[in-house]
Amino acid sequence: MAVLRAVALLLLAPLVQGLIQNIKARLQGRRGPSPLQPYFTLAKLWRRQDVRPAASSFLFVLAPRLALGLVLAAACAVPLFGGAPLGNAGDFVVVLGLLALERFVTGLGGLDQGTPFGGLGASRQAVVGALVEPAFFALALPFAARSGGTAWPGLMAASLQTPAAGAVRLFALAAGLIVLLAETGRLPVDNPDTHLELTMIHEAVALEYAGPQLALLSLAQMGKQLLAVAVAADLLLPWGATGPAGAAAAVGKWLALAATLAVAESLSAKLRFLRLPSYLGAAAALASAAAVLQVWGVR
Amino acid sequence: MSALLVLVLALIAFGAAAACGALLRPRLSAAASLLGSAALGALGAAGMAGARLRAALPLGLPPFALAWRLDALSGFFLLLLAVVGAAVAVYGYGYLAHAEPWKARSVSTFLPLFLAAMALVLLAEDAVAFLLAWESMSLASYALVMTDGERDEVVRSGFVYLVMTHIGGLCLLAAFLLLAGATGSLDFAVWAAAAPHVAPALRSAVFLLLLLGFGGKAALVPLHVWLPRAHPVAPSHVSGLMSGVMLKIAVYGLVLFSFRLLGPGPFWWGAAVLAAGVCSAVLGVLYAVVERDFKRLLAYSSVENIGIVAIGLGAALLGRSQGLVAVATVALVAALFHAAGHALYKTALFLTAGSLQHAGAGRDLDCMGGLLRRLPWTGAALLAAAPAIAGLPPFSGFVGEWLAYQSLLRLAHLGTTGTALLAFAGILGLALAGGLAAGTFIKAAGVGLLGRPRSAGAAQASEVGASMRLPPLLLVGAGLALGLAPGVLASPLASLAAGVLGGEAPGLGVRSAVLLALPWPGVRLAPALWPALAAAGALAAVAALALGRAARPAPAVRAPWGCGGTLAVQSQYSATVYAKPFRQVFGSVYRPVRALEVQSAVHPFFRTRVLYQGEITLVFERFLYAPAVSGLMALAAIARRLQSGSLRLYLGYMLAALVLLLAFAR
Repeated sequence: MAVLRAVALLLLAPLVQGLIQNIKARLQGRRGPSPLQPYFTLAKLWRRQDVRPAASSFLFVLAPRLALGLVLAAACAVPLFGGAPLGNAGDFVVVLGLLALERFVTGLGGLDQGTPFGGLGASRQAVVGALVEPAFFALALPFAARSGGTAWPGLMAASLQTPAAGAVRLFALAAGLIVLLAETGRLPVDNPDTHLELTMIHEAVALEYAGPQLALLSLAQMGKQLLAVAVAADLLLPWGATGPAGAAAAVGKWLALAATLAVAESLSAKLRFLRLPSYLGAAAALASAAAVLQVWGVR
Repeated sequence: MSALLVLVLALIAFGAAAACGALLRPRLSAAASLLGSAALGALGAAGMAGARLRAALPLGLPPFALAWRLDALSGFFLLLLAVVGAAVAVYGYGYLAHAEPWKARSVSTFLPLFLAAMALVLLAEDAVAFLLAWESMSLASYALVMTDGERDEVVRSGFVYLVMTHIGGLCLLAAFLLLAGATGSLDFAVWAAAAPHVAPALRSAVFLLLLLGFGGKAALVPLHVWLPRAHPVAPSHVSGLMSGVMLKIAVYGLVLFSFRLLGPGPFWWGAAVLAAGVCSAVLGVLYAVVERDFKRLLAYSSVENIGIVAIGLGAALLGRSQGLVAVATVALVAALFHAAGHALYKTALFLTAGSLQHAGAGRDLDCMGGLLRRLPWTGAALLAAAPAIAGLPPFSGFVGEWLAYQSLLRLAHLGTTGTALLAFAGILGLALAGGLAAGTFIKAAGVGLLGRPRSAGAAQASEVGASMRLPPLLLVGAGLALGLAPGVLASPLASLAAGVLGGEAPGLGVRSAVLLALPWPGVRLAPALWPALAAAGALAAVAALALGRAARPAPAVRAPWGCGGTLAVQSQYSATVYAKPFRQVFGSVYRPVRALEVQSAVHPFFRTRVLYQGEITLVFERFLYAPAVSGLMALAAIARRLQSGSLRLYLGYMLAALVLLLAFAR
């Protein structure tokens, strides 16, 4: 069942991406593409020819497939649509580990291209990933400290016990917004719509891919985006997760978070790379402060 | 009794190996080392399974009878030593086949002695035996580091290593003398019984000295400066053995004393070890990520991993100081599990670095590239070991870090507020170190193996012999098996930790080999699940693509996008450029220094030459060691004034000393 939910998440991911693009376009004064556009793009890519650079090895070909498989596996480790993760052995640390492995594999695929842009993407993605990792963990810290572990039932129970509008929740929500923007590769960390290679972070590793492989890689990135949103929703907005309308509540929360991301992205300009540690450090500090408040409050 | 026979057999085997090495019979030497390692492995497995041995060998005067013992803790480390030692012995045979005869002789003689000395450190039950074995270990490793002693760089690095190891040894000696004076005996069993009742101030002083001594050998920051100097210059399999096992011997010493022999300690013991661990983990990997010398990168990565082990040990000490025995057990298991994984992967990585150097690709990552095609086996080993050492699933490093996270969170949940703050710092440090380690090894594997060759050496590299290809693959394979079925090691480690801490075994991993269940409710990990799912997902993607393959042509091979021109080989990303964002982002730690000089002819527009030099500041060498050394030299210059050369003045010194002693010796 958890596998089916994970596949459903992957199928829903392009719709969420299309929704974000649509909202951004409307905020820019345009009508924008239909929210279903990413599906058509994926279908178009599927029909095209595969290309690979002359100097590449099997890693170039393996990276998009493994990335998709890892996002699927990570999605099985998260409670989705109000259900439980696979075998009740899902864990927050496992999700972070699988996403880090996905970053590793796509980074190697980027370096395999033998171009400066592939290496540029791999290098910048590694730095952003290294800074996002503690910030993402810190996001779960208030609830993990309260429950004494990182298993999902404990985390969600601790989140339900935390006051809905208290300082802990507000700090965690602020940190969560920053972490989501960084993990999904949106402004102010990275510009997902840029065509200038020197300003790319996540898109540069995908530069040499075309056709079906690009479709797989794009689907993996969209799936990762929705997965990060789902994790944040489970941690920070746990109400209505279990119960009869769990699935509808979950989708509603995801759409609301996606809309928030689109608005937050439209309101910010791209940060200088030098400022990234301050930005993500602020997220980690906010979340740690929430954790400290949580620990003091419980004592 | 049979355990004693196995030990004697192992020691004889190592002695025979050393003799064969001295007589230039490398095949016999490798075989004897392999036999000795197998004997040690059997001993270690027996120790972990419950065999106990205690023997006293009278040597000289009766008060100095040397006591030896085998128990679960020394059995675990003996097993690590055996596995790594066997791999290194097999590798060394191929590695030295084309070396100069005197170097081959030197390494083949001292390597078995090094292995034997490390085994004796693990089995020592007596202060004298421990120090004798410790010193032999240091001297044997010094001789191995100085193998290429005709180069200045090697001599300087060896000197730094010798000085640092003896400073550590002196701290250990001081600690042992303090304890011996307080308890009246040199035997560890007597210390285990009597040390908890010694005055707290003395125990804390002993702990501090032991932390300095073992921490220096384990390369905890700020005592790590010898590691990045000694490891690149030693032969690769020796570096692998030093990083893989010798650092773990220091960890063994720390565990033995702080858990078994000294008894429960105050809060600051665990806090100090945890803080040292966090600093080592973060600073070690920060220096690794900007390094372009592959072996120095691996050395700094060892500092990082020892930091992670120290985080686990610190959490265990904190847990024990507050009576949380279950948490302390899991933290200790996390530390030991991570140590085992690191021993396997770091040795494999150093062996592949040696293979790359042997194949002609050198040590500099900026001159490698395209090696996955030319050296498929070595490349595969490096490609597999890279995510393993970065702590990524499905390898055992991830399981060790997962255990560490769970124990730190439980500590934060149940401990005091101060403990919770320390645990948060530990968790964030661990996460940052993990992220940076992933970045480091993308660089090492990606720049080294992928793309096009960046130098002639890399373009002409050829695969190494079978005895050099197999050991790294086997070590990484063992680590993968350990990551998929962690209960195989975690279960015995849990009983070991419970025995060391004095509680009953909390039932960690008893459920099955593939499912880890912690002693508190609801926290489980099934490490084999996730890679299976990922593989299934990847296969599904492959199948989906293959279904459409019949109607479509195969992937077209094209030149990559180069903004409209052809890309030169040098325009690929190199290790130095890859590290540039890290240098920028963490600039306050690195304090990079740049010098740019542009030479031109006739007019500044017509440039003839551009000289660029960039380097980072090594913070500890510049702000801690350089002032200390210059202060020491200044003191030595002052003391030199006492050496006037006049015999009468020297006789006067002796008379004055005699008079003072007679006056104050009442």
